[in-house]
Amino acid sequence: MDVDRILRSITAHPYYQGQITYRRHLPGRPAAYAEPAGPLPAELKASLERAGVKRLYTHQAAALDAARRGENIVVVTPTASGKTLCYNLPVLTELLTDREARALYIFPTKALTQDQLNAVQRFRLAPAAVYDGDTPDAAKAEIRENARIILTNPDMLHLGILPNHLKWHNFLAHLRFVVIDEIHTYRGVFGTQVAHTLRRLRRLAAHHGADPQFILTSATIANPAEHAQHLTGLPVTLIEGSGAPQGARDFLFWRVPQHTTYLREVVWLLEVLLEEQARTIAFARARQVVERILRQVRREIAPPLAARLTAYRGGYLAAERREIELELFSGRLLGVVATNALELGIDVGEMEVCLIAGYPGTIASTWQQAGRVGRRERDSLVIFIAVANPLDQYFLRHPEAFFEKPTESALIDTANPYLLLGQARCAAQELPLTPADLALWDPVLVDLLTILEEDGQVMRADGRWFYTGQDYPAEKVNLRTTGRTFQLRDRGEKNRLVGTMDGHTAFSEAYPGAIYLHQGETYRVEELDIPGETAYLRRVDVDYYTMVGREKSTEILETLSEKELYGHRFAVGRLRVRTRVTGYIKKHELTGQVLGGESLSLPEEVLETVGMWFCPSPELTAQVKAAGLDLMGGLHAVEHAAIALLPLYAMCDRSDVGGLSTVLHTQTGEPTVFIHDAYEGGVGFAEKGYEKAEELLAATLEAVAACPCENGCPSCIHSPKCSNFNRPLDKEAAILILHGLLGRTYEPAASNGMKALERANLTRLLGRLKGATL
Amino acid sequence: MSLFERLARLRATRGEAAARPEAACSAPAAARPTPGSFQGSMAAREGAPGVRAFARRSPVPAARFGASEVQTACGSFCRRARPLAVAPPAFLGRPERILTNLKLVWGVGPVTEAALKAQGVRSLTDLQEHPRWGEEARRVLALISARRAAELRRRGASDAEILGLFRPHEVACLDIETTGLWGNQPLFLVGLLRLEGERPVLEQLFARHYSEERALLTYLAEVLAEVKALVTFNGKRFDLPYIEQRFIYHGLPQPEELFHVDLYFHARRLPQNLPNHRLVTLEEYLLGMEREGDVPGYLVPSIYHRFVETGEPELLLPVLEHNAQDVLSLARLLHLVGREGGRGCADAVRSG
Repeated sequence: MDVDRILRSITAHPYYQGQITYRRHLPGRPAAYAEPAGPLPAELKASLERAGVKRLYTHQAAALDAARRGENIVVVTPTASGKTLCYNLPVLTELLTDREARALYIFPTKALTQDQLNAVQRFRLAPAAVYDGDTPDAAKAEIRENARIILTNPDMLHLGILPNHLKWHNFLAHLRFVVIDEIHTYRGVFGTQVAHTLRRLRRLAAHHGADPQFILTSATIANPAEHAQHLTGLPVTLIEGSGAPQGARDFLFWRVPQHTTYLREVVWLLEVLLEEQARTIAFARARQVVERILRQVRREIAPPLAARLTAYRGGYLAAERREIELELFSGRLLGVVATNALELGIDVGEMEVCLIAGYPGTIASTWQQAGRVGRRERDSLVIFIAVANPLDQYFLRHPEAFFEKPTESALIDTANPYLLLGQARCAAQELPLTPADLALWDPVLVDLLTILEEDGQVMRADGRWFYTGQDYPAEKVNLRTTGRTFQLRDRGEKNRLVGTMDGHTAFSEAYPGAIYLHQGETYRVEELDIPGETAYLRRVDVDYYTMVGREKSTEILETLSEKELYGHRFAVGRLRVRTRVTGYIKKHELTGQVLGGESLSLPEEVLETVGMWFCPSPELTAQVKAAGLDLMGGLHAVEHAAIALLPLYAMCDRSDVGGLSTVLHTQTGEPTVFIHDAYEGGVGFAEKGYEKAEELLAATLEAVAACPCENGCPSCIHSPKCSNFNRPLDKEAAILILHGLLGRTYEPAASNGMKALERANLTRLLGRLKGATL
Repeated sequence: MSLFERLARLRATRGEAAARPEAACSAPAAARPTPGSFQGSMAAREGAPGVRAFARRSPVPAARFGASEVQTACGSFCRRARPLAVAPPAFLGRPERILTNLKLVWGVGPVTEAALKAQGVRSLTDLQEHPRWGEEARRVLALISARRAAELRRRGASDAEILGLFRPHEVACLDIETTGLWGNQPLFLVGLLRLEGERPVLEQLFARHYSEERALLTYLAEVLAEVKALVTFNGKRFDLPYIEQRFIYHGLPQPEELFHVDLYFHARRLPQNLPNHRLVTLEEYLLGMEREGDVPGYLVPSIYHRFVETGEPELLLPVLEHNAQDVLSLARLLHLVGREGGRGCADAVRSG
């Protein structure tokens, strides 16, 4: 593909007005091959040659060698670099050598599992089968006994396999390898639960006489080896540096001009690319966005051209997926607009241009999306279109941050007592816990067992902890959510179950009257049945969205660590956060205009979690007041922006973290900003924020100060989930506070009289509105 | 009290305890586990340092239960035996019954059977000489003399007919008591009813502690080796898989598979309109019995855990009684099998 020609067409377009702010040329590289230290079994070699693999890339050979030395390994390579051979080679080698040996493959999604089943079956060397929620009961016993490679997901391992380990004796007794793909997706609550589940697996394998070796794969993150070790609890060797060939890529950063929307930009770019016959894949963050792009394309682009573009969303049937794949291969389709569902999984063949409409949340997934183009040695183009969001804007201003060593860490917290408590019950039910087992888990496990003992759920006898309950504890632990699970039921469809959500989310997103988007459908919540743990919805077609208003308070239960930075106090500790939903407002979908609101009274919710907090020094607060700025608005803005940028260091998104600012906290006795994990017990996000406080605040300052808006906007200090409807916010005060926190000096603009007046007016207006509608 | 608070309180108590030099309950000095430390510590399974030592009570003397202690290579457990007044059903040890079932021959249905019987062919032995069915009849006779129960059942033999091939002392009624519903949790009591000489004897094998389960199972394997057929109530779904899983748990070789009659499936086929098919319901409606002061089954696990904790024989005695009652009812209900059409549990499935 001629990148320069396409670039010329773009820049010559009448709509082009300098949107490209940065261009980075990433040179291609030829394949690098290596011989493994020992020969492969003849059958495996023959099978590889049939598939066209004559030599191994360097990373594949390195992975094979390390695995054969008996090491646990984590392989970090880009998309489409022949990653699967890194685990299939050592596993099949072992399976061919030891005719009893078995392997367990774990994938985060069912679609990926199916793809990998096909990949491993193509070798025709060992019987492989998927064992998951879709496996028919009648087939299960046969799979347990005869499949030598079983592919599953963490949920099935937790719920179906481990609690029935006595039926899995033959498999577990010969378990030689555990393969865990895409470990960067195992983070936060889910990652922590997976880490505990893997420890349960190791313990049971040991009981049945096996000590499996682990092979993991990860996208590029800041801490792949550390993360792999946290997940497995074992030492892990890092294998990185891909030997796969790579075409040259040009990476463009695209700024959306004011007075237009990023969707319009995407649509005209698609038009140009289709005209150029460039095979294009566009990624959007949500299913509705994909639909909107496609609708707009049909409206604005000539039909013959528009017809060569299609949508790809999650939830397609295998046959539909294959049809799209075939049409892309044949060239009848030129482009596809996809949600992140495509990021893992299906093969759309050789694409040339990748549009990323909005930062996908992590650098790792951005690279995975970009990895969809320019496989082998063809030139390709990636265009990142920044949307109105602090992280997008941050990267627009710091494109180099994108190409350097990533700063984002996948985090889990295996010491979270809330999660470990449920897992301890599962473990004890599977096999009495011995004192030696304690070494597998965080030391807090001893205390948790004491608590379970007090509650009559386990009994200490003969030095071991026996589970005394008569239930199936694994059923009570959902790996992907915490706390209570609410069901979402559609009243319009005979109360069909449309999904589930955890309790905290239900209160803040499924309150009566809320507009709730689920898998591209818009629903209004009619009723939230709290004791029944069910939200009743009905499908609606409305042009507004809702924002929840909440009252929040934070109590410090225990300070775990404290430090001082430029005279300001920073701390991390256990918090109790009380939240009460007080009402909501309706805002127009396009204009954001407030259309009205309702007050609500839902019961108070209590969340015990881990959070960081900081208190600006009295000098700094005095400075803010002296400048005529709003301290509360400044702290609040700092909180929003810092939460928005935390994902640079801790892989999470806004809904994983909460915050609270106050001009006077009763316990600290000072103005305080809290940033806390949104999960019971905490999972390490806020802790990372504390550890990286200075970097985080520097990035925050940069994001706020560099934003061209005057009073704050969604690109800097507005938060889409603010429980005070983004009031009060003071951007100038935030900039001053952030300078102070970082020990820098800042002179606020001379006069703020005008701004203060505007603010007063606005507050009055809002107050009147509130009086009228609430 | 919240989990954070309870943990903080525990840490505080421990802090006080650690301050006293004689403290028996000192907990580990909370070092984070290093990766890989698990495998090493697996070797020293029973003795991780720092965790409070568990003072094991010496076991309650077997005599307190009217039992005797059985010593095995893997430790001891208790065995209680006593005679029971129950007569074995008449069909045991009566092979004539199966011999008259000509339908066991492939191709012979009720009509052919009736015709043959009208011709004076009374048994499979007679049928051996028949030009058309003789060869197949000889095959069936071979199965019968080899007591190949599974194949006979496939050919349509009823449980009563097959049981007729076993002598009364080869048949045992069996019922177990466990600490959970899933085979992961120990079982602690196996009740068996067998003939010792001419006397029906109830034999109860029980563990006074979870750690005695292994010894109990090794002994049970010996008992089962002497038995040829088992009678249970819901054993297809519960007792037998549970026992199987416990053998797997302890890494013991599985006992040989025995001919098994599950009375639950016979009860399900009763013509009577019963409110349900629980054992106590059958006792009430079919045997006219009512249990007095019986321990409800769902309480058994917690009673046992409590017994292990306190060592009070009074806790376990009612459970032993409950089990004895169950086994006795099994024996009394065994005559249900004698009803015509009792085809056994070939259609039962085990959940996976």
